[in-house]
Amino acid sequence: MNNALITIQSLEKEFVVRRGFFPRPKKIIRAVDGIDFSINTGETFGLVGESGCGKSTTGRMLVRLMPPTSGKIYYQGEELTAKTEKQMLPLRRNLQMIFQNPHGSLNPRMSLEQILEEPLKIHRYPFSNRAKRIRELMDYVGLSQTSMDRYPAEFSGGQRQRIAIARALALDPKFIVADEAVSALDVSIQAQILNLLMDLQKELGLTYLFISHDLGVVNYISDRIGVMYLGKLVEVADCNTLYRRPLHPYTKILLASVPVADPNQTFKAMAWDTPEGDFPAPPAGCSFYNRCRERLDICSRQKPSLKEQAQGQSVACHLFNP
Amino acid sequence: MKKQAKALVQHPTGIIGIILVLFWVSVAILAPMLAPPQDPDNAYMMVRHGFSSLPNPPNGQSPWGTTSGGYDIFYGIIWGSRTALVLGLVTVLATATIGALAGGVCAYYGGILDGVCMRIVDLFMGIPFLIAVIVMTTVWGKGMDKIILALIVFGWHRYARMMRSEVLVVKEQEFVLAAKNMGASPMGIFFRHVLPNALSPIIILMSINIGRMVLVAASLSFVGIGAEPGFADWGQMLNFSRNWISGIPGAPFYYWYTYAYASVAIFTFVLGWTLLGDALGTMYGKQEAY
Amino acid sequence: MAIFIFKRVIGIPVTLFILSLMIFSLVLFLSPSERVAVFVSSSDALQSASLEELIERYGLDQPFYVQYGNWVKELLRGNLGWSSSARMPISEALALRIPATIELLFAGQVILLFGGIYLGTLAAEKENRFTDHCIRLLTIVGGAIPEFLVGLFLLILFYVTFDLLPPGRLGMLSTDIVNAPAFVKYTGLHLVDSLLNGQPHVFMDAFSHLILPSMAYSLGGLAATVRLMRSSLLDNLSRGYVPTARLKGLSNRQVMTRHVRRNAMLPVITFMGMRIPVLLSGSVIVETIFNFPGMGMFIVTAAQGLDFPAIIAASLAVSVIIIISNLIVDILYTVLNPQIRLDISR
Ligand SMILES: Nc1ncnc2c1ncn2[C@@H]1O[C@H](COP(=O)(O)OP(=O)(O)OP(=O)(O)O)[C@@H](O)[C@H]1O
Ligand SMILES: [Mg+2]
Repeated sequence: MNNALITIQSLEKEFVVRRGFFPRPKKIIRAVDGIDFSINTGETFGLVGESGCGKSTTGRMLVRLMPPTSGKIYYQGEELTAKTEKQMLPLRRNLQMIFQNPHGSLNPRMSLEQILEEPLKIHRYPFSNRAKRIRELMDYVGLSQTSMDRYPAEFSGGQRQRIAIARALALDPKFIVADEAVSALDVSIQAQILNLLMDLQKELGLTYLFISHDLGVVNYISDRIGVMYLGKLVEVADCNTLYRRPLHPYTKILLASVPVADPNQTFKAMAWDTPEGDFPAPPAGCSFYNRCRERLDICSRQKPSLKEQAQGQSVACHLFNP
Repeated sequence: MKKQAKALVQHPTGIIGIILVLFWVSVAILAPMLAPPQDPDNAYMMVRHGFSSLPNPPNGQSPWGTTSGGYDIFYGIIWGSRTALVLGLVTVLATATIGALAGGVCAYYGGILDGVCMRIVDLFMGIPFLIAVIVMTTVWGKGMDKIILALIVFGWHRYARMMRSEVLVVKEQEFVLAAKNMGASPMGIFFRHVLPNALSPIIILMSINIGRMVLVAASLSFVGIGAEPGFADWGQMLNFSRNWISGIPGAPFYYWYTYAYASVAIFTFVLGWTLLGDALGTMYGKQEAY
Repeated sequence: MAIFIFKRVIGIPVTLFILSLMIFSLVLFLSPSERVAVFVSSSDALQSASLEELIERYGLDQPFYVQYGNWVKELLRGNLGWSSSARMPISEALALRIPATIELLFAGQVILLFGGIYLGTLAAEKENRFTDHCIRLLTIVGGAIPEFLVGLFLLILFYVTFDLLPPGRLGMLSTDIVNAPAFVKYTGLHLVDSLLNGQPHVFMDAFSHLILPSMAYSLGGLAATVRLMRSSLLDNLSRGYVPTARLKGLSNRQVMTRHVRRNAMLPVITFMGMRIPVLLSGSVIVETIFNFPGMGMFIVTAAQGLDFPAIIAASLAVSVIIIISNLIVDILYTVLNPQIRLDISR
């Protein structure tokens, strides 16, 4: 695929959790456990999975907010993981991020103008054009009437998320990671922000990685979807394919829990009584083994790998790789 | 900002604190008018009426009486407020700057630096403040400047500790990540995003510590180690009164004026800053800021 | 538990080494002639030899670490130098003064602990009722008044006005008894020695002289322990184990004393440990006010007389007092905290 904007290869991230000053038995969390995928220019790639499965960690590694433990990330064929912080600086303007919490992602002590000016300052945007650029950004996100010397505390959640989007757009990025960008908002406002993101994508030719735990939202905005479970990618498919013909048992559970408008929806009837709680994966086998209703013998012994099943649909499950 | 000021005034102890603080600040500013010095070049030396070793009760010449040595009590109280204010502000500004920077930088960069920093802070926590200041002023010699220096050397660690715990929280906030994502330098992030958002508990502690520092300096003078004799300083005035506390036989409060004014002055000054800090603390939702 | 305490004990020499280095580095601020006094053990020695000889003898022109080594050697021999303000060898002066300060420190900690437990429990039991509010008001005011004002106030109230509880460490009669050859000074602590010597009057006298100063300098801390005890009691009462203990058939009072209060006391104990340096600072003031001849007064007199050897030795003595009392508080904490004991024995 030559039009891939972002490609990642066997990306891993481990966190070492240490308590206290002295070295004690450490706990290692494998937040991201070897994932591969690529995102094409101009598309929206959705990443879903339950809380703690490593979505944010993946997103943050993609924009180099965290170094990966191992694995490679390519942006337009350049290997980001090999670059130093200094070499990264000119690239950073192309890779931006929108955060989940509109209350935490804006510095409460900076006015709207200062917030939007900061990226321009850092990247030496010509001084004379800054005011014009800030106006332009405000127009993009539909805040053209707002006064510039107000502080984040004076805005609603939806408005703040618009400000965060404007800030991400300031440097004309090519790629934006939206990490739970609408999860903290009311449903009516969620739709507004999603539509705004889609409009901006068309207008500016952006590529998105859209992270959410809500498959309904991801489905609305994405072209392709990756499903994550405990640090692994278990299924990747086109949006429509995934909806019509989910393969992985975990994807089926996720779909069943999405409230749907269509009364003929087949999955609605399926009452999945999967046990709740903490499920450590067996060390040798599939990470979903303990929760899986369709598990086979081999599942406890061997890790399944992601394999293409049909046109544009890959799954990591032994059911489909006999 | 306006809203916060309003909340502060409506806070019951906050308003008392503000009134006391404003009162003493204006006394300190207006000192040359309230108690004109005899020798303007040496205004901090208390005016003397004679050299009698006996205190003198209030009279036309000295409205609040004189201490032993003939020092005018009214003059001492008025100019003592300047001493207290200058000492409090200088030490607190210096300790807060040093402590906040040290604690903030250590917490922000983390790792071994943070570990070492916390060991040092722990060591200083275990040192008795007043005794350390006495020892330092003995070795360095007398004088307000030496006292202030000693107060700074042994007073910064509280800020470092507080700043550290605050920065550890702030540096995980998403706006810090956002700045990093834009390509801001670590230094830039620290001064633009982390520091300003970690300062409010430091301001509370500063307010409370103005009172506390003045108190330690007053304690020093009270035990006779602080300021040079005759320097307008509340602690020293109480020191002068120590021999007269028991009064004369049959009249235990005969020399009340030697200690009453100075005690009230110290108490209200310290109380004012403490209440102000307390009110700021409840406003920012930090009980027990100290 | 033994292991925990052992770990604490082996940390002590390191701390002591660092502190002694810091303290000895104070001599760098002194001139050689002032420095000599830190080493010389009697006033005669100062007189009999010339300054050059003494500088030579104690290696005062040598590098810092050599001087430090010499100083430690002298220390271990029990020679702390000559105190010009007390006019005796410093080791003798410290032997007289340290017990007095320890008595005061102990009395202060007792007030912090039992006052905190009693008033804190009372406030928690009567949560948000009149008694609780009274105690809160008292703690706010008590916490805001500086030690020397409290001290002066108590002195004026009890001594000047009512002629009760005089200053000093002992009355005239008891002083004579204590100084008599028949009175064996086992520890230097009057409270202990008087009982060992069978002198209950001296005990009562020493006790009554401790009341005012220890009250004066523990009031600020008491405010904190009361508040700590109250909130930690309320916190513990809302935890799950209280109903369980009630189910096991323990009475309300038993639950309170056996489980809740014991757990609630832990933060108070931690606070007491942190308060030790503050109390020692306070002892400088209260000892001066109440004319109580302990380390605080010793330091003040030394500072007034620019008695450098005494200042340096006193700093060292205070460090040792702090380290040892911290150890005691740690042990107390371990004894009270079932969790640490379990952890260690496992
Ligand atoms: N800085 C960190 N230190 C230690 N562990 C971390 C850190 N960041 C994340 N983790 C752990 O890594 C795992 C994955 O976290 P991540 O934030 O990527 O999950 P997520 O899928 O985004 O979840 P959520 O939907 O809750 O945001 C979690 O178990 C989390 O506890
Ligand atoms: Mg997340």
